[in-house]
Amino acid sequence: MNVLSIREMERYDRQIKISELGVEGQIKLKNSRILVVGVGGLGGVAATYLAMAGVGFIRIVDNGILELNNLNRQIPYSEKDIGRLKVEAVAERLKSLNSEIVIEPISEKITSRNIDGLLRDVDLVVDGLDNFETRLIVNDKCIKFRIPFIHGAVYSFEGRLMTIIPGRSPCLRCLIPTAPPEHDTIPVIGPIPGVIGCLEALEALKIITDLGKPFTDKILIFDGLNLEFTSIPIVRSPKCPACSKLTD
Amino acid sequence: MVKIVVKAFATIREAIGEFGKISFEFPEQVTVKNLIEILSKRFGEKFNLEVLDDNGLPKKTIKIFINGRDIEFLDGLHTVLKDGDEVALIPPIAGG
Repeated sequence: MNVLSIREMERYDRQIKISELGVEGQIKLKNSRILVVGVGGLGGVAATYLAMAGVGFIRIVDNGILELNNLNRQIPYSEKDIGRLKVEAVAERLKSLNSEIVIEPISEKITSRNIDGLLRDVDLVVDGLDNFETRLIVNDKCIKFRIPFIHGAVYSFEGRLMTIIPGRSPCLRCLIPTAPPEHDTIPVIGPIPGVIGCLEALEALKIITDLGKPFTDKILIFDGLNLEFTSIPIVRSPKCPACSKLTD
Repeated sequence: MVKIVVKAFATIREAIGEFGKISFEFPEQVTVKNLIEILSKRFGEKFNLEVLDDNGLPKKTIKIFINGRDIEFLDGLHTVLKDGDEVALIPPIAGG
């Protein structure tokens, strides 16, 4: 689709007025397809902003059921959603925010067996996961299929962000070659996934519209306790089993 | 005197307290390995559990940076710290 309806022109008016974005950028968003893996604190925030910005197709994958202890940070949900499949509740919420886009909810655990299908026909992946094992499965396949992957993670008062452009920038496995031992439950205060989820959505919107500079070749550490953003350079590992053989 | 600032993140910050920032003054040169040993003595079991492997060396999953440079690309644990250096101890975090 190369045009916007009158209603779309009105809905996206404030961002179309951004000189770099304009109608052309909005059409790119309309024609884009994004996969959000995990719709907890990070993915819920990122998916909400992507839907509001007019990303035409959003596939959301999560096999979780909403629990009361999710509600300190997972903003798309309400108390009435407790006990529901998260993807169903998020899909309903996103459709109520923007009925002009397509939301595809998939309630599945991401594994090395189903990941290829989940990545089919998407332009970009946003990380809303809560463990490294699954993140590395997604990372490796994003590298293989050359799909940009926006990594985010949170712990306590701290958040991290890293954008991965396969073949051009370091990947998650350059930084963390194998999954470290996982914690059973991860402590976190709500605004941290709020900040990082927003930044993930921003990175996704920039990449889709080809504006600005993606946050590659470094990792952002957001220290909420001291309110400091630290950017640390990361280089591609020549030994990385996922991306070392990939060239631009 | 060699003044060093250590900045610890996530679980290592919790082991150290002090909002994760701590300053040291040494009368002589120290290496990263020396610094880790000093931190280990000072903060004990909680620090050791988060940072050290079975051989008493920093776990491979923990990244150590000096002024934003990974020690892997310096002299590793033998990197000598200079006056004013900031050492960051960064464990992986997984929450979403």
